[in-house]
Amino acid sequence: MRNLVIEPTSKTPKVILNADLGVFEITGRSIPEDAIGFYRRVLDWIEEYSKSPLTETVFKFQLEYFNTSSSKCLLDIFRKLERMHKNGHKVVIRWHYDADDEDMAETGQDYQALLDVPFELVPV
Amino acid sequence: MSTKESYFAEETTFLLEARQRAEKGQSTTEEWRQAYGLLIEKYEELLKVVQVLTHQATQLEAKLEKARTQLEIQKKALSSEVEGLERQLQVQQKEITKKAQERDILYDRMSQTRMMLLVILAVLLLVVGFTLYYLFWDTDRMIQFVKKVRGLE
Repeated sequence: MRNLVIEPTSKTPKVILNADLGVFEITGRSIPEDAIGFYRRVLDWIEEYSKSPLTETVFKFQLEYFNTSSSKCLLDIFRKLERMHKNGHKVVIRWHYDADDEDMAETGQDYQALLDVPFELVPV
Repeated sequence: MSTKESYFAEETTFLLEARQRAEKGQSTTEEWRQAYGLLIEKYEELLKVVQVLTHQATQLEAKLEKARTQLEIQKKALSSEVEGLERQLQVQQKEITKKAQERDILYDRMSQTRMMLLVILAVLLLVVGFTLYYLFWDTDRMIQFVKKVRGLE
């Protein structure tokens, strides 16, 4: 399947979804006005990937700031990954956050509590 | 589907299906029980999502408020700095005006002094000229003049 790479802008994060290299990352800032429009491609890609995933999928999230609508889209991504996990695939979500950013740590904890998938909090 | 609804597309679709099922009303008790169980499950899930999103939105608002307060403080500090700079500028402008006036006065005095020097130089040249003339070209009259001055004649 084709890899998906979206370069970052001042309002959208960098997205690397590379099944060949096993790199799945969303990093940067996410404050687009049309979050669903931006994340549609990501969700579609994961949906396609989930049909025949790698032995292990480690998905890295390292966001410095994101708006509420992006948060809902992130939850949709997590749900897809959770579904993969429930279908017997090995999936790990790594939530990287600035060690000084308590809010981002708390957000990670919120997601962790909400999901039934290995969810690691990684302070950096 | 509006933008607001598209963020909850799955939930909206589920709700629509549940409503259609309720309107049909042809299900068995067991089917109703299952559908109701699923509805509860979805409702719980949605409630958790809403709780998370509400919490995050509150955090973001708090961050924004903090940023707004900091901006307000910086704005005040900048305003007071600008006021100080404006006062400093006014003082400097006054000083420049004063210095310009002093310079004009100095130029006037220099001009007067230059004129006086020119007059003195002209007088001196005249005296020296006359002296040299009588000394070299009209020596007799010079001797008579010196004798007259000394009272020898």
